[in-house]
Amino acid sequence: MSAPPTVPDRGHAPAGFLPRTTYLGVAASLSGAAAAWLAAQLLTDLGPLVDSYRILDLLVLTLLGAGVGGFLLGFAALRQGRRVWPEVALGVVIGGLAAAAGGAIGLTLARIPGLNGSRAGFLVARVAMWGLVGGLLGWGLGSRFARLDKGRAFDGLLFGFLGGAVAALVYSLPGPTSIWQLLAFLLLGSAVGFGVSRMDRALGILWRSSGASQPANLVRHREWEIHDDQVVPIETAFVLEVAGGRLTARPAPDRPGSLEVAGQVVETAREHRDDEVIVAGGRSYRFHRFSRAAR
Amino acid sequence: MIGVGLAFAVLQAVGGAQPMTLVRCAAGSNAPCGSIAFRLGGAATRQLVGLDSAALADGWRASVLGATDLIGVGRVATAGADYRVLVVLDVSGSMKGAKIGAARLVLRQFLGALDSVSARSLRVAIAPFGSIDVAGRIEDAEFSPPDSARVRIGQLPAPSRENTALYSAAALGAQRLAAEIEQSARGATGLLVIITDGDNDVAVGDDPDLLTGADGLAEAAGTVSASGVWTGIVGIGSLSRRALETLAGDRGFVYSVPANPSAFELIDPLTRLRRVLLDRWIVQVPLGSLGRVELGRQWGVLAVDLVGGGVPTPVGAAVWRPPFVALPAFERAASPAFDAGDDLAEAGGASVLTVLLPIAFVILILVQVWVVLPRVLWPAASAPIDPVTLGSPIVATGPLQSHREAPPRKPTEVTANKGRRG
Repeated sequence: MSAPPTVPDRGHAPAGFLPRTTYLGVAASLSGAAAAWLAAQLLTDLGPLVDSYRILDLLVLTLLGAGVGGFLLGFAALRQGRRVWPEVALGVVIGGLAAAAGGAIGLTLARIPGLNGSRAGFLVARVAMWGLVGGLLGWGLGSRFARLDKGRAFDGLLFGFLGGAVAALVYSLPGPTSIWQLLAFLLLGSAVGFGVSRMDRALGILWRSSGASQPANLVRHREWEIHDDQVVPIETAFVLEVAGGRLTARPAPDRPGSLEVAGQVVETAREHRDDEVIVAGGRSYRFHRFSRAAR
Repeated sequence: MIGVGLAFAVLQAVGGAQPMTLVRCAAGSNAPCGSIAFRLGGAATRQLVGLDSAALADGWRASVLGATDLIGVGRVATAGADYRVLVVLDVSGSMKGAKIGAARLVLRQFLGALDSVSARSLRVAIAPFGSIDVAGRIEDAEFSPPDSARVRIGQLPAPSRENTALYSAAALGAQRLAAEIEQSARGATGLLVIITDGDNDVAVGDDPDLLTGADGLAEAAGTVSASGVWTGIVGIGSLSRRALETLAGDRGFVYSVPANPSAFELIDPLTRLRRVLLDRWIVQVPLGSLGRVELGRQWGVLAVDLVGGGVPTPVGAAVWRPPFVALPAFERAASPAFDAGDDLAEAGGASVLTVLLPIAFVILILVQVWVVLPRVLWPAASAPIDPVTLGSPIVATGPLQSHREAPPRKPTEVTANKGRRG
């Protein structure tokens, strides 16, 4: 008796569990924050250009924002089969600017004498600054996904702010300051990544099966979050149209007849049901509708 | 919007304490030192003048962020300061002979020792006094750089048969010095040095209106005190110490030397008085166990005491404000003037552990996030094909059915490891 053929990756997380899109958003942002932290460790001396702690803070924040933004948008593009490097560049710019802007506002607020002349005041100023940075960073990066989901910018703002505030407290803990700073960076990055990647309002997700019997590989994983009333091109293989909670798969314009849904060749558009396998361009895809979005 | 801007401007104008700067204790060293600049107050100046050199070298103690009893190294800072010194030298008849010779010699040494104070910021005047033309001589005293003043020592008049208008000389000298300080744009520090060998003694034939008696002493002391200058009185021989101390006031010092002083005996008080001019200091404090990185944790205050005779006097404090996000960075290496010593220069080097541990931590976290956790969350990438999926569409009946569901059992399959009872 021969072994049964396999369809990889059938075990996608059920509703309520962490979708890989969200997990990848957190992982990517966290990695960007870690990279920024490593780069920041090289800044041990002030110099002609970075001649004050204010400038140093802004520089490190720019690094942090650029790292989180570059990794987050880059991996999002990779996950959705789009061109990666333009998104990385965009993420670096958006993230760097947003974090620097948050830092500039925070530094201005920190000049208030009440926040400047005591240990508690300094802590408040630090929490406010990190919160602002996280909030603006989340808002800026979340705005990139606004076309997909209008609430994403607010999610980024909220989670970024909360993550930043907690990160500031962690950074101020007694003990190994360097490690606390690293954790603070990771916390802020994770919070921003989570806020920008969470899919509360999504109808479901479509993911590409890897086609091989391999352990989960996040880098090779391709996944699209599906929202209502949208047209989503999937890797030039086919197009998914969503309207009124119904999904319709149709072949890509230049690939007629190359689409199979549930084992049947699709010549024109065909409604796609939950958990059906779509085969296109030699790859198989699967859609999972979230329970809260079930019709 | 304008209101908010104005509020910020006002808040900034309120100002704050002087900041502590973080420097490398020595060039090439990773040992952090806190650097603080301050101007000594009255009590600290009094203590400084009273210390001997050895005690001063070891006299700076500091605390910051829970680290206490840190030993600092102090250096005089003269930049931005102005100093005015008026030496009023008794040339009454009793100063004849060895006394005036020793006084002139010591004054030359004293002015030479002022080299440590920037010549550009120091002006010195020397005025003789007896009991004739006391006001005129003091008024005519010209403030000039120390080198010029040393030349004028040789031009001082020889002692003559005059009495000692000590009270008037002190009062007039203080007024003259205060007037000179007023002309200084940077609020100079003033030192009035009086060298005399006699108590106040005026008689008929001397200048009119010279101060004398208890009232004269009180008036002179009041004038000296009101001038705000530091006063040092060097009494040669047996003089009324009480009168001299009254005259010197709160900001004054009185020294007594033998009737026929050696140059050494006379130079000691002047050397101490010179320290009045050393009122601006930069103290550099090796932060010991507090590394550069640890300083990033919290706001703190670096407090510096001057310890002399076992009594610490607070002399300066600086606020340490770390960056809000970044780790603190060195602002510069310490000036070579601060001899940190070889031990300190080598101390504080980043150990392999310090550098590698956080990097290893980063790698560990990334491996967890990218490799380990995904395998836990999504353990199997393969599972038997569900023939329903390939064969016919699934009718969606609500939330996703778990992919871990077992396929339908066939009638021949054993469904339990244990046999059914009975």
